[in-house]
Amino acid sequence: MKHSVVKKLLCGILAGISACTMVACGGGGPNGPDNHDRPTDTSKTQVELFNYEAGYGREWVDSLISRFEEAVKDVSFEEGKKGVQVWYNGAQQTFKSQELSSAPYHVFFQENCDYYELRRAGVLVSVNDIVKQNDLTLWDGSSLKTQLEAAGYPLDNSVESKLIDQQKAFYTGDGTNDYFAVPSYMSTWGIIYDVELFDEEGLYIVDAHDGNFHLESDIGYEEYDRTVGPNGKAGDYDDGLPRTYDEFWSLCTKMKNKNLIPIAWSGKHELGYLSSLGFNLLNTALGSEQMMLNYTFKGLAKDLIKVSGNGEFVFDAQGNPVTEDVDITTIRNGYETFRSSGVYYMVDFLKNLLDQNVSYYDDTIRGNNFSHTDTQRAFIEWGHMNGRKKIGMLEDGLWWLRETIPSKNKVYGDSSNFLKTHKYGWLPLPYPTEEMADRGLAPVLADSLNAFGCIKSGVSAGVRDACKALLLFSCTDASCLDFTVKTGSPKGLEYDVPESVKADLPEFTKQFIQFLNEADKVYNFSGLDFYNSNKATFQPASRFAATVRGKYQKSVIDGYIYDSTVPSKEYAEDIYATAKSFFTTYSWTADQN
Amino acid sequence: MTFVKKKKKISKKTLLFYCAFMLWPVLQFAVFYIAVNFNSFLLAFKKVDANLNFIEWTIDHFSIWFKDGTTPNLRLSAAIVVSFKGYLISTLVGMPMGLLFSFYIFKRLPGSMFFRVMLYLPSVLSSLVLVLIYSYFVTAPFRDILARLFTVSQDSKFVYSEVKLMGRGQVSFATLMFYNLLVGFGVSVLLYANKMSSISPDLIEASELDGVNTWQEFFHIILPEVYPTISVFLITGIAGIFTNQYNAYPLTKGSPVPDSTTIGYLMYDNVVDAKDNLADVKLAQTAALGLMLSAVVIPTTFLVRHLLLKYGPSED
Repeated sequence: MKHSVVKKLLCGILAGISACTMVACGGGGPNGPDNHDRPTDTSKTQVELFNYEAGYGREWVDSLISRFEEAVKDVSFEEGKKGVQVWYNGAQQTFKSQELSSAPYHVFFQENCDYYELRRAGVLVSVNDIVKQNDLTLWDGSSLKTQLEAAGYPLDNSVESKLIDQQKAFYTGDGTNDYFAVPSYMSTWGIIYDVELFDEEGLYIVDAHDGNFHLESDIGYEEYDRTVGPNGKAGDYDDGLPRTYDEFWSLCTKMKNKNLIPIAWSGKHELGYLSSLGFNLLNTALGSEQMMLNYTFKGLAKDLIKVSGNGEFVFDAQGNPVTEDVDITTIRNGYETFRSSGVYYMVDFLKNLLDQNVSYYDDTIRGNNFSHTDTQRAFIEWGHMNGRKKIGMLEDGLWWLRETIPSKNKVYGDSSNFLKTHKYGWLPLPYPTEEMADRGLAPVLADSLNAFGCIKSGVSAGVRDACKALLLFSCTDASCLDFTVKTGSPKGLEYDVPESVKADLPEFTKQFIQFLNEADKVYNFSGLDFYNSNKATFQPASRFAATVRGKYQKSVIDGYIYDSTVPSKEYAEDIYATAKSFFTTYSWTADQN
Repeated sequence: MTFVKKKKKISKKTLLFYCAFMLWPVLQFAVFYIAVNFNSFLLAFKKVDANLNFIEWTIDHFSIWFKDGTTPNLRLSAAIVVSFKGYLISTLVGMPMGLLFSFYIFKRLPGSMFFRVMLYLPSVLSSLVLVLIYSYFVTAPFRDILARLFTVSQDSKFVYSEVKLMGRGQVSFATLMFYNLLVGFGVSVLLYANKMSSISPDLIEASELDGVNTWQEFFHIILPEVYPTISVFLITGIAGIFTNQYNAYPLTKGSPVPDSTTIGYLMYDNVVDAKDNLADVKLAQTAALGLMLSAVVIPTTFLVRHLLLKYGPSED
């Protein structure tokens, strides 16, 4: 009897442990209906919206919904109904074709989702009318544009006119010239710096006309003007920030000497974060025109490193790569783009960044379990905590500010005042060399999220039109501006941010907008059949896979964590050799030339 | 007098119950095994464009794995070595340890019941939880312990650069295998111990009367009796060579070093890379690899089974 009770008790405890672990591993599903606490108004068209709710959160969607509902309150999308009620649903979830067609939502804002897969499966509604004509003919023959204008919400330029050529080619894709989605936001990874720390510690670079590197805080150099920064223009936001890789490392060394942690990034997501940084360094080094060759694999490729007869890169006596221009006439020779000097410089930068002997990072933050929000919190808080070193720069995505506000708790109590009282800045990525910085090329904003809005096919005509109207409304300048104000990031459309709007924005966003106004945009996608058949191979994290010293390394980050002794020249040669092997052994079809 | 066996008539009700009962598993088998494998079979020979339009039948997805210097070829060569190493370690280290400890429990030596429960206890937890505990332990605490033991400053680069136990992309093969031996130990001990407990006490008593010592008992009585279970482990292990990833994904957050990438992980990695892009050639190449490995593993498994039955110890 006693044994039986003990057994039952043990069984109960074990079952409990088991259940607890199951519960601990659970969660992560959709957040569920969120603005569903208001009453349903059946006199209005009902639209279910799904938002990929991650770094940018939902505030911008809430704002879009309330502005849209107000704008179309007198518009009829279905007979007998007037106005629209949009119900918000959000989670970190993307929808493939089968999931999308069975999901209980009508309109989707997705990111990192395969647009071509959805398009191919025929689960999306064509949005040609709103993209090309900037209008929608409703069930009663009336024009949406006219009604919106009457309601005080004029539609500006057409959506198509706000797209760059690369976007047009991508969204119309297979040559049918049909759009099935509109761009949503764009985003990128980059370097954020603590403006207050830079001010306090005098970390801006000054031009003492002696050819040497000096900071404002260096004794005797306080009165010199700050250098022109990466954009080469004096008197603007990036003055005193590093213009070349050499300046960047010199700055990091001086920061280290001041007992600061020069730069931090998420240890947990190191591969993704640093691969994206590397890719953006490449974008900056190449400029938008040359970068586009990485998506078309055809055209005049400039600054390719010469290859000797034994397959080695040729460097001059000063240790600089000897370059040449090559006209790539067939995509089968697209591997030539992998020997651009930009790839070599990117490898060199990442090698330095990960160098354990120099260590510009903090070991704890690089730990396996230090997430991106942990790192953000450390960036904000460590400077105010005893026994912790201050962090000068953070490598993160543009969404970091919005993402980190809810997570901060130890130092700043009131999040509403946070942005007003603390300044962070956008550090435009430096160029590899002085010569490259002097080319006068526009900086590049490389999108990494491929976010778009789309509508599920098979919904009733009235709901479909309401969804189209919502997407069109999301592309107006006013909505784009609203997004920028709410998130500090750009939409994937061309629009201006007026000075009047900038005034109220946080310092970080102001600086980023100045960068944005100067930058060319490049999206990480291509309409090329070959590219889309090998998309996995060409993603930033795996694009520079290489067999280095007999070991396959999926990324430069992996490679240098595994073996930090490999010289960057050798690594870049291996990247080129691996790419060449891939292209030359590829099973080409007759029409792929 | 002859008896004619009368065919038992199955009532409609029974038939209906049987069909309803079998419908789900058969459907599952049809969809998740037959259909999936059939699709995979076709995929291995098909060349499609980015819009999934058929272009031609090809064997390129097979041949790429054999072309010298190509990434698939290099990765597969390395993965084969890692996979076989893993199998050998599991077999030569894990299995003897499991058998010996099971024997300890079987002999009811001090603390045997306690060990039996304690060793199996981690298996109650989700493997993800175990992986988390292990990875937490071998990162910071382990580094700190080392730092204290060897009086090395925690800021020293020695800790980070030399002790490559954990950290993204830094899991050594030894760390990985140690974890797998650790978590597999409890289950194997339980299985072997259960099998040992089914051995007739008369047999043991008789052997004791004949004066066999403990080691003779283990090698000449227990092992032959447990041999069917050992055979099962060895045979299933053969298939495991080509599929096992030794928890490389959760332990390394999807980024194992080349020395820890098994064939199973290589295939998984290719498929995950392709994400939902059915047009990605990596999927077709992986399907082709799967077919080739099936062609190797099926006869090998039968051969190993045949050899184990033919040359293994007999209970007689």
